[in-house]
Amino acid sequence: MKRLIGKLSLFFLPVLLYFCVFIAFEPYNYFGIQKNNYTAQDQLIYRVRSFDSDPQNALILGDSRSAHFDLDLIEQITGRPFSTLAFGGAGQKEIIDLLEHALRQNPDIDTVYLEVSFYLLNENYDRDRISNIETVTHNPFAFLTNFNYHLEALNRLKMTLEGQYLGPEHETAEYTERDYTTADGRTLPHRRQLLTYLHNVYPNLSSDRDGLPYPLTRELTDDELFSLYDFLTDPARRDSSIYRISEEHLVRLEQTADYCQQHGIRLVFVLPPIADAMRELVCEPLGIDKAMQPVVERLRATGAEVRDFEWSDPPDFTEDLFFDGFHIDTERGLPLYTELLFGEET
Amino acid sequence: MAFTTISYLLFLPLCLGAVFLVPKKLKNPLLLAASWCFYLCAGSPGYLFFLLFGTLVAYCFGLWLEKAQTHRARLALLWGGIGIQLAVLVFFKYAGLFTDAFARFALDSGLLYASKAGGVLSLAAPLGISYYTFQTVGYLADVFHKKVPAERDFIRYALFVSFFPQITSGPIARADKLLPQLDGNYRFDYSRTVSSLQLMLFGFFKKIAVADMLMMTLGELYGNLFALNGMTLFFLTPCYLFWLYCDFSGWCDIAVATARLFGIELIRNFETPLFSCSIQEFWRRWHISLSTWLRDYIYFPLGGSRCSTLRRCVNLMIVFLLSGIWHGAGFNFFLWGALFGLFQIAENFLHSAHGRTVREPHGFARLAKNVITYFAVSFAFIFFSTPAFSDALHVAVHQFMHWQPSAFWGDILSAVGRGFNSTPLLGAAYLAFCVLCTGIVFFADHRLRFHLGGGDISKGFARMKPLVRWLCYYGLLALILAAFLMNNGYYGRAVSTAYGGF
Repeated sequence: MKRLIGKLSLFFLPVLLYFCVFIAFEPYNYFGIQKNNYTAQDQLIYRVRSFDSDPQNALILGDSRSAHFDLDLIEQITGRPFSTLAFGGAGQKEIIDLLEHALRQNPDIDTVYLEVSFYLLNENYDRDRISNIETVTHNPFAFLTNFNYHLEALNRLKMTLEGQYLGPEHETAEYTERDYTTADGRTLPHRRQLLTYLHNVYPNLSSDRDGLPYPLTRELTDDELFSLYDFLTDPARRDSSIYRISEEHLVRLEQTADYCQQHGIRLVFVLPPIADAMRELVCEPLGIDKAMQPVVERLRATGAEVRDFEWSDPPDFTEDLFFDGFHIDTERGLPLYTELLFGEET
Repeated sequence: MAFTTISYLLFLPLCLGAVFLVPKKLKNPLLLAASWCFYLCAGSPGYLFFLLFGTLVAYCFGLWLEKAQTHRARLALLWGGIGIQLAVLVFFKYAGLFTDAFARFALDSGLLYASKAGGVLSLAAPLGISYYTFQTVGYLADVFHKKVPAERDFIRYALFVSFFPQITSGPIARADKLLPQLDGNYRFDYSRTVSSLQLMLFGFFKKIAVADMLMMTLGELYGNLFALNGMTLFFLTPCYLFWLYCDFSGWCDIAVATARLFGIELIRNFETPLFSCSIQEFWRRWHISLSTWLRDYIYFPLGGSRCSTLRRCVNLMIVFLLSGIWHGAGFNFFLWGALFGLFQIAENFLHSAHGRTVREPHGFARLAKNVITYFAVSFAFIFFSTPAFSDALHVAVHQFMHWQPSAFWGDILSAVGRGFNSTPLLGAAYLAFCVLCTGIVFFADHRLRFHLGGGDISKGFARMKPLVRWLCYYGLLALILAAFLMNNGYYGRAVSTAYGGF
């Protein structure tokens, strides 16, 4: 028997070693033993496990535009601790599913800031990963045997061996005159990073193409940026919109508001601010602003609070406070936005 | 609980350890309790009742059979016991077919209105009912023919029926082989354990690294049959046959290996059948426990081949039709059995035209016969692979039409893309993985068949030098782990054995 146990140990040793490597490099710090993993805290699995182990009664839900709030700053402003289940790439269905998960875990939740936006309500943008996430967050075996997590761990190992930066992604940058002008001195209609960002999101909203490569693997030239601007502002774009609002998501939002009202939960629908470039060059030409008007009215009709920074009450933020068309600069703009959004809590 | 789950890998060593450690008189009760637990975890708790019912009926009828004085009474008890067992099997497996047919007839003939005819009776059969019913029927027949004495120890008899490695998907055990081994003398033996683990490793490899991985693409192709090119359809069923072989034989290897860990030898269900040169040889090597059961309990009592040519043909057809409907309650399975019956009858006529003895083919003749047999068997399996007759007919007819190699590759690549849900690079890696694992199975089976004289993979391992053997262990383990991971999470999907629903 001892001989057999010895040989079985030898047999399983490489498997054990491999899983040790996996646990050391998986991006979510699932077992809490990684010391230098700064990105794990932004990941959904980490956030769901943190919430489940220590849920607060005030909650933030949304996609990447709500995922980088400084919770300490919010607590400073509001005087109470908040939890966050916002994560990058979230879909509207997933945001609502996460709220349901959170309410199951903590029935004492009394305040919810739930992100809504035209991008999330796009019928073509539909993701559904929460049931898998719920399984994985509570079942270490499910986590250990998930193939895409292994790929991510191996990728992280590769990046570590190559000496690549693995720190947190800061959506911030310093902008110079070069970002607003061309090499020959012309002024760009918008900051070049914002224009490039619009090129990347446009295919999700329109059937027309600007003739530039997808995906973009290089910087656009100055002439390409001007030609992109001309393309976006061409009145012909008006008929190319493929944007449709998901009635299913909207109904679920109304049901959510109804549930919160019945259970005495303060629900705040938050439509985060977008850069003027996004509004002027994409949303208005494609009629998205008009499509969203009845949506906002329906949200208001539920009786929940609606903080609409996207359409009816955009803040006076300059371009340099935005990292891209959707995301506020985490260093310069986010603290201002945090104060704007949560200031009324006090 | 299935063999390919983590819970089984925890259950097995616990069960083994407990059975080895307890005193002899507690070994069988403990093993029986473990088997019932396994059955409960593998299926619906309510179906344990039917397993216990079947066990009790056969146990009681066996004892009464032995005590009966007259042949008439014995015959009545035999048919009574068999009748009750088969009634339960028929009810669960085939009642839905009749009520469905009746509902359609009633609708078409206007006997019932649509609203009343809705809700066809469709019951999920208890897990493994086809297997343990045949096992208990075989036991009663053996007691009747005095091949085995009726088992007086209920625990031992119940263990014979419920022994967990074989309860869900066979192999179908014979009373004279299995009952004597259930004597409670279960002891650890090093060399036996090593050969079991070797067989189990290869079983997991066939099931997880080959069958489950192939099903990722096959599932997509079968879900899109009417859009496939003729060339794709032509190669689809041979691939399906290979998948079925790896899936079922892998499962059986794990079952046999598990039993061997306890010191119990179960019948091996597969003996490299894909290298068969005739339909007869194929059925001597494929699902052996079922084919030999049908031969011993149906074909021989009907007269076998010791009768007129016409009667022999009728007997063969009856056996194959029964085999078909044992596999499923549908016209497709009936047709599958009928095709094999026709193939076998035609083959017998061909052999008799060549003279009484047919020499073992060699070289190119052997290869040609092997390929022809493989494709003939694959053709019959068209009707096994899809539940809908229209789908099977489409495959059978259109596989010879509109061959376009470019469309063939397009079908494969888009199925891989949908099934594996990946980037092109990962899709290419997946295809390479499947080719590698298929090659390993082919090589292993070829070695066993033509160089090692048959048997199981532990024979091959025993002949290897230790370093080579350990490299093979690690290679298989790495492939199993990679396949298991690829089947979980966002990529791929969970699969289950094709024979688990019988």
